[in-house]
Amino acid sequence: MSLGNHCTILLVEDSPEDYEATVRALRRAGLRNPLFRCEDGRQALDFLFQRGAFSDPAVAPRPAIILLDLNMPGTDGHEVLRQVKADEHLKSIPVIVLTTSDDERDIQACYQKGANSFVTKPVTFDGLVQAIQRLTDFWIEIVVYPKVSDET
Amino acid sequence: MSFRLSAREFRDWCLPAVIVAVVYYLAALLGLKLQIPGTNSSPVWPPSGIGFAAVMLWGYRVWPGIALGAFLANLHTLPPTTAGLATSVGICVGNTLEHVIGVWLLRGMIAAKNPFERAGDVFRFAGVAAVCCAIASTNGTANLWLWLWNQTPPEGVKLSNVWLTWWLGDTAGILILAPVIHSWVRSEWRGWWRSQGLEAVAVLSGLVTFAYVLFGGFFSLAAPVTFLILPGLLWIAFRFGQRESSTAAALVSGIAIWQTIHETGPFALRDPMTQLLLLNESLLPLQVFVCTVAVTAVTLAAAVAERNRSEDGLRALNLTLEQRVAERTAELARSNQELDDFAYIASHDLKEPLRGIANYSNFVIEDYGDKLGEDGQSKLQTVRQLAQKMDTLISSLLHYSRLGRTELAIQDTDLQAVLTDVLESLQVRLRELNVEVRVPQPLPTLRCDRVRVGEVFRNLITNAMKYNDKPRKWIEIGWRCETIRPAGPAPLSPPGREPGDTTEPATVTLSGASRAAAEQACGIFFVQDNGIGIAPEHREAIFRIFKRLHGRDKFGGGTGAGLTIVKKIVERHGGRIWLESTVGEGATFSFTLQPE
Repeated sequence: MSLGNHCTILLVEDSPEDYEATVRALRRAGLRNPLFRCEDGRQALDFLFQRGAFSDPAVAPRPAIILLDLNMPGTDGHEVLRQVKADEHLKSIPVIVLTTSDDERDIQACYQKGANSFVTKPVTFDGLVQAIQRLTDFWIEIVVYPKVSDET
Repeated sequence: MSFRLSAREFRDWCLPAVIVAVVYYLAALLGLKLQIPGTNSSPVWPPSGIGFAAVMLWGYRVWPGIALGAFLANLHTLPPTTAGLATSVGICVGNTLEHVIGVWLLRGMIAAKNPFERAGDVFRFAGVAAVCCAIASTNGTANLWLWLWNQTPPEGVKLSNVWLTWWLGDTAGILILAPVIHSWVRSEWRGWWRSQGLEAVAVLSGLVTFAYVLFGGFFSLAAPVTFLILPGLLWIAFRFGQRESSTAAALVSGIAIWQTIHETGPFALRDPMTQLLLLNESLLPLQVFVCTVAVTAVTLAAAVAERNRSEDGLRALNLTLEQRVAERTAELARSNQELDDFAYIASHDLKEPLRGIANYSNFVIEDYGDKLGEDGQSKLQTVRQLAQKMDTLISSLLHYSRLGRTELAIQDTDLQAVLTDVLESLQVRLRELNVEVRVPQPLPTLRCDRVRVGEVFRNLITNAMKYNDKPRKWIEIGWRCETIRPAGPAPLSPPGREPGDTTEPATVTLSGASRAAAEQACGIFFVQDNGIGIAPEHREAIFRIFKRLHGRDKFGGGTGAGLTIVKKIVERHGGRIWLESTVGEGATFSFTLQPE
């Protein structure tokens, strides 16, 4: 089945400005989905593996899509991606790397680790809105996912 | 003033002198043993070599030891009368002076500490030995003459002969022994590796045996035959060092002397009547022989050492050179890595705030546009545009810096296909601007970086269509095969065609593989337009990064990095780019993609 307006999106983004821009772009694209934000890789991993402050599944539900920034203080996006794709339960969640980088090494490394797509953030806000619109159209409306058992 | 000797003074001054005195005295006893039977003459006087080596090694301070040793030695030959003692003192002064003056002369003539390291220095050493021994022999002969004046002179003693044998004996002593002692005490011995040790033992024992055969009186040999010993000495000089060489020479000399004084061998010439050894006929050739052997062996060893040193020097230089190249390469790799890191940081950390500025300007306009009014909105739009421009500039700079560092992906590239792609991607703008594109003949296939060369064409074509105010715009893209002109004119202003010049350059028609090779070697590509042209004074400046000749909003704007990037790509291929233009009529950018 494909996802709908109710599915959860996890946004891993350290910059508040970029977070704000992405949230605006999501709303502009007409999405009303529950949105969770993690400010760095450590927090994202805690959230995804439901440990520490996120041990309650109600606080940290399994996201349907992860939008992942690469450059973050401490544990960076590469590490989050690696751990997500190494985990049996989490690896079916599509991870969309959304970053300012267009460095070939980053692109290579991310796909090697199993990123589902690599998107360089468009420079302009209009570009970002368009990109987010298309991304969500594809990943939420079109793509079909396997059923997930709720017990983790 | 204290007259007590400190331990240090004793060690530095007294001990060497005492040792020298003892050794000198013992050597003198040996010298007396080496006398030709029935005469008072020794073919070689070992103490002179000992004394010379002692002054060379420990300095002038050992002179009292030499004087003492010489005085004691003379007591054996001269009677202990007043006249005899006086003569002894006189002779020992001469012997002491011989060594002190000899070493002083040597130090004045040779800069090196070791006189046995260079062939030239060995010759100087031999010359000095001859000169300083003349002092001792002259002094000694004079003293003997004074003494003999008071005595009944022994029968058959000619003072001129005494002088000659004295001089040659002393000289031979220095030439044979000083290098041996010096090399055993001072020289740095390289040591032998396993097979070399065997070789040394074999050659030395062979040499000694051969010398014994030559001088042992087994055959009746003429004196010149003795020089057959030289090949063996050459072997040692070439294969080993000064220590082995001088020792071998001393051994051969020792055997020659020992056998001669025992009245055998080619040098022991007897009176046919009396069967007694003929002093002059035996002594002089023997002395000449031992001096020649010693000087030859030591000189050769020095020459070989010299050559080895220069070889070692070269090898060491090569090694350090390799090491330096490796270090420099590592340094370059590190600095490239740092630049890479910098580029990465710049692309993210510098751009992020810019993105924020642009986005937040947008948000303010969106959320508070009605309160800002039109003027406020337009100003915020400008802020946003400036941030975006900054973003583009950073991107260009990064792109440029990456061009310099990343390897080109050189492959056979159909340039016509590349050009078609570029023109297709520019199609919309070309049509909008009403530009006619002319490609008179298809471009060749060339070994180059497909993507980068596409970038060159795109940039040049974009410029050509942007900087054009004619109602009928055209761009011509082509190439010609021209024998590459010899490097001479400045890269940017070669003697090129004027626009409208109808004479075509020599075109070579070839086919097949040779054609491809020729194309590779001679292709000059050009992008020509009928645009606004570029004034001569700007023709170098246009290749500078971010240099623009026109206002920001004229001719469609741009960062001013395009031509810099084009030049960089061309130069990375080993080619060059130049420009011909008439202001108001158009410009032609020509470039090559291979070294000339």
